[in-house]
Amino acid sequence: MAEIKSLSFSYLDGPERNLNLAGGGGNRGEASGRDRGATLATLVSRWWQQEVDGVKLRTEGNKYFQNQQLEKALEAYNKAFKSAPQDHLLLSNRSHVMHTMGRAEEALKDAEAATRCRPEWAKGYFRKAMALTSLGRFEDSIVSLLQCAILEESNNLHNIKDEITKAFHRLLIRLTSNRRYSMEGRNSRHHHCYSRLSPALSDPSIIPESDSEDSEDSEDGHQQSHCGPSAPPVEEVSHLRKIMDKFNLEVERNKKSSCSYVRAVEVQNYDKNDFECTLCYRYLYQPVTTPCGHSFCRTCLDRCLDHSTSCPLCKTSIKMFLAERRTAVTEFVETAMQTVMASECQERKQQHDEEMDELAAAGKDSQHGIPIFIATLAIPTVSCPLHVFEPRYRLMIRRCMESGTREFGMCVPMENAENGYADSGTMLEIRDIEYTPDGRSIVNTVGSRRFRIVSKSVKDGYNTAAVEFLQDVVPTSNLSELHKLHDCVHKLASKWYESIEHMTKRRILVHYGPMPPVEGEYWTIPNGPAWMWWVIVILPLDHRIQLSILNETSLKRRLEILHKIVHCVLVQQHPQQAPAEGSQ
Amino acid sequence: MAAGLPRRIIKETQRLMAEPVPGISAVPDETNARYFHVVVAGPEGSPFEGGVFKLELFLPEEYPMSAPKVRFMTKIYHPNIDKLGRICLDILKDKWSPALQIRTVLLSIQALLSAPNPDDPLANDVAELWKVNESEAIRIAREWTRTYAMGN
Ligand SMILES: [Zn+2]
Ligand SMILES: [Zn+2]
Repeated sequence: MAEIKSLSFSYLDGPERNLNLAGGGGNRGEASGRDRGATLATLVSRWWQQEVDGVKLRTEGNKYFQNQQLEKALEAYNKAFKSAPQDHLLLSNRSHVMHTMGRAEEALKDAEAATRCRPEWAKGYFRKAMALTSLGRFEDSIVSLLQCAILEESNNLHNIKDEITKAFHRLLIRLTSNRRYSMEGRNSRHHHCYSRLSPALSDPSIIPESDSEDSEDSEDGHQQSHCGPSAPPVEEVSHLRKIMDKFNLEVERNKKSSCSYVRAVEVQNYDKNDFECTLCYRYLYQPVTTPCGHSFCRTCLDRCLDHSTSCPLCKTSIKMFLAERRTAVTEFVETAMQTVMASECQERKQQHDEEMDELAAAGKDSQHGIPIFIATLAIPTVSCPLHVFEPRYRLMIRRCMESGTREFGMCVPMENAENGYADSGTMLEIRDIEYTPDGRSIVNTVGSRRFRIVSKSVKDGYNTAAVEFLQDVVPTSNLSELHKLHDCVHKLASKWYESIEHMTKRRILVHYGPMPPVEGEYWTIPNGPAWMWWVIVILPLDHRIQLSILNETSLKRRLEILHKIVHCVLVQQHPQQAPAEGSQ
Repeated sequence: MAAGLPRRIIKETQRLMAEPVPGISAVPDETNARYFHVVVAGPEGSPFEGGVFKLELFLPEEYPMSAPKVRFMTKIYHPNIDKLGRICLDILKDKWSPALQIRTVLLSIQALLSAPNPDDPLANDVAELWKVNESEAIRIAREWTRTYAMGN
């Protein structure tokens, strides 16, 4: 006796949805003999072969129907029914072809079966309504259309509304003409009335017009026999009430029938290896499926996309997939895994969480190094936009975002230093990221803490480092002297800034904004006053000088260095009117 | 602060040990799990038959995002392998995909020994001779195999 696991795929319209069945297995004959990286299509046909056969036959039937080969279409649908008697799409399509062939009773039977298979599927009720209309059961048809309307998506709703209008119209015409027939006994009037109105049945736009004609008629004193809105006769009202009662009954019944469709998988057809990621060799976590049907862990596929825009397994181009940033988890795969290997899924999730915690702990201590970006000299409080295109940095930035740290270390490249970069740097906090369709990005950052490197390492291709964060020693004595020095350097720097020519100034404003105002108690800030960093960035300074200022944790000494530099620059600009060094 | 060996490398190594590729042995170095000592037996019917060829295979830090680095240590007369033992094989270069694995690489190298491809050469003079005078090229390849690959 085969063991059966039930998978509930209530959201799945049919096993073929979003899958390219024609694509087939897509295995490139991996020589290991192991069936690695099965496509979704492979899984679906392995699990539900019969249903898949049914879908193929149904598709065949649809083609015949499009070519108006009704008999052949019906034949294909009948064959499909043997494989997949629960396929609501098949039942609906067969209902449609029966209806077209004028076999209304059978059309109704299939439509009803479709609504039983999928009580929440709007179109089933539409088919039912069409069959009922053909059978002349107008009230029932209206009930079905109303059921369809409450389930239908809003963008399709106007069609249903038209149909409901037509259906009411039909019903009212019948009621009206019946009464006329009985009251006046004039058969010809009946026929005349019906034929006059019948074009409206195929063109809803005509209906309002005929309504207005009717109301004109009603002024002639015939209102009792007409469907004008002013005074509906008793019989019509009771009919409408009957329809509403029936409708309520049906809706209540649907609410109770919790018929969510369950598709079962025989355990012998279920292979856990199908859910091993072909990139990290672990079970899939947050599985993402490419258009070619191959599934990978989201983070694994992201990493591949940093390097190449083709599927790692079959080399199909997935450029559009990348451009549209379609990284939604494939519920089908996730549900399948959760159903049959819940404990493995749990374990895998734990693994992922641990990895994230590890990344999130960056910089916490010497065990948890910070990721290092080697590009330029970053300065505290100053913004630093980066163009990120190298695969290793794409990975690094993504991890900063996913782990939630949103920061990394920036170091200036240095030829003779260990691993090719300076032994100190500045943290950059990520403000926002703009992606280009090919996966590159502009990352807007701003400098924050300064650090000195304790040891350097490499992780998955990018550099990491254990660091010691630097902050200014808060001065406790000679504060007034420090204030004096600060004010003097601030004044000198402002003077230099004012002396810069207009165009350069504008460029500075665009890039770095205006000079930051002096903070209260600036001497207690870990990085000192922000205006100094702003001046250091716009001064034409060599990286080495900037770096030595960065490493300085005494505000007083930084002020002294800056004083000297600004003075030199002013002397170069205006040799005659330069103030003597140290003048205050 | 060396990052631990990725799970994938551990698993690949385990599987390689459990189900080795016929005619190939690949053993990780005792001190470096990313470095493999590889021995390939010359395929039957090829001029390399009877030879035992040593190779080194190294998994770089970015593996599997970048291909393993493989090199012949034993001298071999082959149009797609140069004097330094470097191999001209597309999957080791631009055709690499992270879904490929050590096993695939080893199999491809074995296949390259069975079917030399002088139209996509690395060692130009060897490829030239292979195209102009194949029987002479094969004779030299056999001789090299006897001289360098049957010693121990
Ligand atoms: Zn993975
Ligand atoms: Zn693929």
